[in-house]
Amino acid sequence: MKLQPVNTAATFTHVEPEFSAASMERTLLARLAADLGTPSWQEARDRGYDLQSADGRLVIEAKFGLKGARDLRSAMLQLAQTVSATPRIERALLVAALPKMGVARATEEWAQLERLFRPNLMKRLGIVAVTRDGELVQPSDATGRRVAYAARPILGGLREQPRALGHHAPTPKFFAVWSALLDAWLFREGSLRIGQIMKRAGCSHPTVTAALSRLDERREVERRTSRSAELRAFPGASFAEATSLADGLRKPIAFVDGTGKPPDAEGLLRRLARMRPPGVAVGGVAAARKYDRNFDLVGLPRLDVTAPRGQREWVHVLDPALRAARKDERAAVLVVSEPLTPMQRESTSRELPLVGPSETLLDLQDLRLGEQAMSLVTALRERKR
Amino acid sequence: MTDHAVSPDAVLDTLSQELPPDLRNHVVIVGSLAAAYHFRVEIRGPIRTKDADLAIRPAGAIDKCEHIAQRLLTDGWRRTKDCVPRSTANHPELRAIRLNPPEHENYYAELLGLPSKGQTESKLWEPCRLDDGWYGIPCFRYLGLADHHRQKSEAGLAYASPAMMALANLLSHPTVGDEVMLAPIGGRTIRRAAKDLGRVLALSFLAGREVVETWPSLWVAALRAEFSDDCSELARRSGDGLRALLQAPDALEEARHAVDIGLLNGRGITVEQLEATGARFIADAVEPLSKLFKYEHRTR
Repeated sequence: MKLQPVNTAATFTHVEPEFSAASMERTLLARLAADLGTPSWQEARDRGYDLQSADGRLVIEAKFGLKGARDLRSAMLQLAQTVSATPRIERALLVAALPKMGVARATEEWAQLERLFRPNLMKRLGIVAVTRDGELVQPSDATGRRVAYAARPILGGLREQPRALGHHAPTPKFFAVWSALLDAWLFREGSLRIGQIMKRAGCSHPTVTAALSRLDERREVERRTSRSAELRAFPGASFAEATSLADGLRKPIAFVDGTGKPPDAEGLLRRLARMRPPGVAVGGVAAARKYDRNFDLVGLPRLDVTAPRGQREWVHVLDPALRAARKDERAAVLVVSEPLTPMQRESTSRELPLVGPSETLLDLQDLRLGEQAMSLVTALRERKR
Repeated sequence: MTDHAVSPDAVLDTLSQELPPDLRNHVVIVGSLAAAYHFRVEIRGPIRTKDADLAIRPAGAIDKCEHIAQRLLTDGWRRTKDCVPRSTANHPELRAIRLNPPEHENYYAELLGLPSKGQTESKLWEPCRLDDGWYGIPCFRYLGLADHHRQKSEAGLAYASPAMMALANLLSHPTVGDEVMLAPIGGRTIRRAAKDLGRVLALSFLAGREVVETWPSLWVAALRAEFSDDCSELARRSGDGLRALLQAPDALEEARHAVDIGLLNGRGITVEQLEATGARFIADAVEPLSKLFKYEHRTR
């Protein structure tokens, strides 16, 4: 039986933990099947395990719902029974996420199983497990390492975000990955390798894979067999989510002109360009104009920038008359947000770096320039590479 | 005469018509009228003032002041009530020369002298003899700066630039001090420093950052020309009085009141906004001025 495409029909906002665990297992199996390459793999649930190699000598059972040592022992016992009844199987691997166990405890459990099972049976069993603080690969031979390598992105994501099986709000790291993917999509770069996403998003491998899984659940990302990914289209659902969560994600601080004069964002931008404070990048309308020369807006309603967390001293140097806006106070002349990703668009020596277009779109949404934001999306996508 | 609302461009137009043409080149309008005229577009309305301060050029030419005053009187200008002569030049309270135009009392012109080189007193009364006795010409130490970078009204009358008026006021008040204005402003007694330094803030507010940033280079040239020996020291301490004002809530409130009655009338300016204006002005103009001289000192 040929492996079928992963069913990701679950909606993002109504994920039941058990269903999500099953979905994650299928994602893992699809990944394993793709990554392990030849011999081709087949689903074999009717035989008591999830996958088997074409020659039937290697089988894999994936378990994401293990809650503790008892579940682990139970899963291994079941697998041992299957192996015992099927002489053709040379190796049966349990691929598991053990988010509630430490690696020491998991190793101890494995040692107890070694004492429990006959050596001839035990040498045909193996485990690739990610615990809350490490990884257990037994035996750590070529097959074990190969499976661990393929499974690590997904299992690791579960270790880093143990609540990933349930419904919870996406983390800033998720949006860092999302932002890197959206920027690449807007610039029509094609699919990004996991390593590229890690670099652009400033995230670890497990975090990237967890984020990709999340995007996968809502069919917003296309994952390639070459361990790369690309957005399928403009990710409307997660963009709406990012917009609604933007305050918490980007922690914007609005500044007003304390002198009472009308805001002069253009003047402030000129000064910022002269000053060029480290780590500060321009977003909002100013960036949109750089990305699209025909951007349809007269004037600069305010200056949007990103700056690393805790770096705000430069604001006082830029203009000592700026002060943080009070609650419900409008007419901000400057909004400083934390960047979603460490990436900035390169600029000439005379120009300020720009934030990526995905964050620029969030700025435009915050300015209630949704129409212009969508025009920018179109303009970027239609731009010649 | 009490303050009343006048249109700055109307007054300057009238003044330029009423001053004899051959005297115009010897006059620079300074003070609130000059400031209000320069920012007449931003102010968009009348301002409260009572006088047109005429600084007489060239510096130290008291004889020119005498000539101009005498000429105006001959042309029908009339002394104000408090403009009375004294019998001797040494009189302790010489009165300033204040003259109404021949046919109305919409304003009066007060004659000021540009200081001689080397004047160290902040204010010096130079005796001035007219037909009926002795008067005084007040010479302010830093008023000579007003003769630099002069501006011209549409009618061709010279007036002091906001940049130079701001610098003159800054240097005139290294501290807030206790001296109060003789006449109440808007019904309140105001310290002179609060009024003059408040005007600096109003000028910078109206000029805007882009313009204010150009002031330090203008100031350097004027300071070198007027105070070649101690220009560096003057630049270094130019912000002392303003910083003191910003640290003194009572004085700052007086400054707010003065600008609210004057150049910033109708804007509902608050003390907080004035503080912010001051902080910006110090960063954009005062500190750069000091740095320009420091840099020059290092590269010598």
